[in-house]
Amino acid sequence: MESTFKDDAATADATRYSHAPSTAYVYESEMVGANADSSTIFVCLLETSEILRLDAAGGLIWEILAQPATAEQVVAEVASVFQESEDTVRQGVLDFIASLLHQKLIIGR
Amino acid sequence: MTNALGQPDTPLEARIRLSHAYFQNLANKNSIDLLHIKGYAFGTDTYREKRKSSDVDILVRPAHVARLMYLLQADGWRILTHFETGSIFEHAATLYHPSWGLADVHRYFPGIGYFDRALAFDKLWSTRRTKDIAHFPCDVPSVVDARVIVVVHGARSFAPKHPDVEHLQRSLKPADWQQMRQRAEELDCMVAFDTALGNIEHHANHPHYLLWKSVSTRMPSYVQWKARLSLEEKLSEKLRILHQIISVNEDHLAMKLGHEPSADERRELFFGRFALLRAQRKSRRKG
Repeated sequence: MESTFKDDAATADATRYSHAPSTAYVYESEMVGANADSSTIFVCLLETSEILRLDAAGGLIWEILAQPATAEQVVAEVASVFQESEDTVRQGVLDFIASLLHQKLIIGR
Repeated sequence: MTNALGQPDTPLEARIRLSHAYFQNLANKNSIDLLHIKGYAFGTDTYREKRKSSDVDILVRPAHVARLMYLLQADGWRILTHFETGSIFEHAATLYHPSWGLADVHRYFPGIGYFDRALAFDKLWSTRRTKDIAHFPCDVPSVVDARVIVVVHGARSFAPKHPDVEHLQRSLKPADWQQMRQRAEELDCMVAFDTALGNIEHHANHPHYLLWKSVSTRMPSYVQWKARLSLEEKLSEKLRILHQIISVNEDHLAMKLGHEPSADERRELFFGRFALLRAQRKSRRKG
């Protein structure tokens, strides 16, 4: 059963988040003539035709969620990549996951 | 972490790739069979590297076309040119969506299956493969079929050299061409296939010869219409084509003007053509 995000409770939650089935995305770095170092990702919820542009950290979380992951796994991965403590990045990551859930771009199971 | 929402910031290439996924998603949800053709649907096994595309092309199972067009219009797409007015082949409708941009919906591919479009689609569908476009699984023709489509498409060009066909000629081995030729025969598209390769005269006695000759070389447009008329066997179809020849192409006029044509503008175009014809005849008499 799909879950809704439960704010801070999600940190202890075993819910695994992943891309919603009706989403598609394009890495700017893969595009013809684009900056190969770009970390921008264009993500689309195909049902609504809305396109979301994700920057470095948002893009990283999107990439992590290509495979199902718990919120805490995402926090750990983001902290590791940015070489910050998990406490530093936790709230930002949780807010972002909540935002993706709200926009139906990811699902939680 | 999100720094922008909405389409203005989205580069054209990202939008086109995502719109392939949009079409596939719509097709999946509504049991519509379609194949993504040309552009970003074909890879570097067919096109040269770094080739850019400006729109989306999809080929739809003929029996599913009406349903797809209904769904697209319900989802905000506007028809710019209808099937009947898009080209001499009446093969595709061009649609526009404020978020997605332009898309060509093909009800058949010119050169492949003129008389039995359903069978032609079946043949292409039977060898389809799945390819991720914008990380979304999309139905595309097999590599061999994609290459045949590129060649056949090249037959509709006035230019003596078609860059996409030339690329295949440079990059593929004789065995690949043998495979393509065999498949072109199966798809019953040898006239267009050979036209693109400069060998149309091999088909001088084929009923489609004049049509392909007229679209691959610079000729007065009436030759194309004459060729179209000669292909139709039913009187009703001949009459419909004659009506199209005489009528003003309102879709093209609207695109040229950038707005729906007024009655005066339609009248001007209609009578203007006769004035042009009179001037041409007069000049020929003088010459």
